[in-house]
Amino acid sequence: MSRAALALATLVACGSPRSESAQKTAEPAAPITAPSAGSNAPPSSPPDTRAPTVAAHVVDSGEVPGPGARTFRHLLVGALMRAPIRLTWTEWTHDAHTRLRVACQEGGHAKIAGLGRPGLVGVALTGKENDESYWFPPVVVDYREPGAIHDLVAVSPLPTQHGCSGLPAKLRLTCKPDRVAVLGVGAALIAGGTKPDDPGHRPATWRPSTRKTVDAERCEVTLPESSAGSSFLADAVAGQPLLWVADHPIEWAFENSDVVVQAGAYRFMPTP
Amino acid sequence: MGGDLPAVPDRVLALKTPPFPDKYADPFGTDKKLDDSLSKAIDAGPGKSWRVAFAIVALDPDGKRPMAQFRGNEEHYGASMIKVAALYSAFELRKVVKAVAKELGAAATQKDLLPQIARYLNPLVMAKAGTMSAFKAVNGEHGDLLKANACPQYANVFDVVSASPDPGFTVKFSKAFENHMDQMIKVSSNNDAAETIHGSGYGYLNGALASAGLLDGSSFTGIWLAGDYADPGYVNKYPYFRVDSVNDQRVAQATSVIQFAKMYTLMTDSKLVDAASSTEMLEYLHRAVTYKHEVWIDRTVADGVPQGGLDASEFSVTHNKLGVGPLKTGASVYSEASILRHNETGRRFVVAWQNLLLDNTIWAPVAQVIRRTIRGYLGLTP
Repeated sequence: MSRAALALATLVACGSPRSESAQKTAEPAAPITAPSAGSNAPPSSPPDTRAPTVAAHVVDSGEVPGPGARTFRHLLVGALMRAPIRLTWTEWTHDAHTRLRVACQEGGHAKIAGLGRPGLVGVALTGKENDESYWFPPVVVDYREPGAIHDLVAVSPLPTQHGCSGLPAKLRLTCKPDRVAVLGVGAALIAGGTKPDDPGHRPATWRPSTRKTVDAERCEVTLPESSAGSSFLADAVAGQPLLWVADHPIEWAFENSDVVVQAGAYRFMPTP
Repeated sequence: MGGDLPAVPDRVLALKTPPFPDKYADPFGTDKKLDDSLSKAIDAGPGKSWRVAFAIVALDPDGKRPMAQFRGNEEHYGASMIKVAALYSAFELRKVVKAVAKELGAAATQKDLLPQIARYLNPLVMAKAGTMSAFKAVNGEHGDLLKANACPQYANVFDVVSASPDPGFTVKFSKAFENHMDQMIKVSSNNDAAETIHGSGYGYLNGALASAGLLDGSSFTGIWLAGDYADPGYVNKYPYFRVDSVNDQRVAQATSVIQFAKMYTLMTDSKLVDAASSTEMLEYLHRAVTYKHEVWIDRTVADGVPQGGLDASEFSVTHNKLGVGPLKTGASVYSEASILRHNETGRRFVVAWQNLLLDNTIWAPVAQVIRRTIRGYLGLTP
């Protein structure tokens, strides 16, 4: 399918006023303005030399997400992650064009008790990972639609250091309505305790396990062929769609602790 | 799987291609300096009661491959490190299937090439598996190994392509299968490991390991992989076939570090399967480092806490596969097989270790044994 055809298909599939309005005009990518260091960092965050080196910034005052902004989060933890990563995505409309912002944060900013599993390095999905003090100030990348609808390009410097390197420079969203079962805020992933083949092994479970099924808009992320497979973070984004839920933002929480547990699920995000 | 392929005419296939590799020559030599350096490093660090099995191979510029080891022949549950064996067997299978395809030449069409190959290879795979007692039924565990779990899933593993300028057709890995191998190695995906293992089948996989000399098919020491890592609910999960281990009784994913280091050393010397395949396999192990840096032994800090790993200014891990998995006690054991470079001298080493339980020293015991052994061997201040 050609690029233009896919964009049209995307528009039809989305079918939301937001998407329909987005086709009115096309504009070139805006020049990148000077970063205002730390503008997206939590006010209480202390300076930390281990924080990612690319400063957070907002493109201009008109680009602050306003009413109707939607949020989704990727949360990637586990023994195989040198540092846990969370990507908080915000989508809104500005001058009839889709805007997308990702705030990338590495974990490890503060020491939190009970983040891991006994005998295992790294952070587990215990619910305690929601503690905001655990996360370094974010590195923020903004994406805009320079032309085709839902073909977005980064208009901010891409981070090159630490775990936030590898965010895609370009991405395409292909959206459609969906229904998704979502766990409660901070639901914990309970590992099986033994190998899958050992006697008494229990499949990994979530506690509490109650799920609520909600309406969502599911936006698959496609990367340019040249960047697919080259970056863990870009592949992680492309591998797990953005899901916008109107009433209560959700997150994709995934733990890769190798044979101990390797599982993920949607959870409601904590209320700020 | 082979059983899903279209039937081929019932005729005798008079093919000659051996289904399994010849035994590889043992690349290892001994070197008193390396032996002494390892012994001193263990004495100065964790001590002789150390539970970790450890092997180190010096990839000397003159082509010699001295190897030193501690508990090197002990068979242990090795968690995801063992997935490299599935990578190896896939490449061994590709070599054999290409050879059979060449032997068939114009006698096979694009459509019936894989069915003809399956018809030739599958009985040989089953015969080889039949010589391995670990594939026999065990009360309370499993029945005899079935053909569906023993033989390759040719159509999932390979695409059939023209052999031009030669007559007939040949094979290459399908994109989907390459992706399974890639995900299995670079992010240790369990489901992709299952697909990769199913691609070879337990019979071919362990038959190749045994024929190659990487597994003793009688005592079941060496590399053994007959468990597919998939969760119990995974579609088409295979049963597990177990062998005895030192650290976790009967297990389906095990090795001795000597045999694992041998597999890496042969790969490094372009001798595992063939030179081109060795290069490709090394690329998979290299991507585990470049893609997400999935390495235990050079972790120096996490959450602001020292981890005791090797300092990147002194050593660079260039190729890697790590693992962590639970024992029956519920405790988790760590393992890793790496190719690393001593930056100052450029000298390279293969290091394989397993059965590490973490305490508050985290990686320091293994890292210090590696560092002291290499520095001792190179004549540097320990």
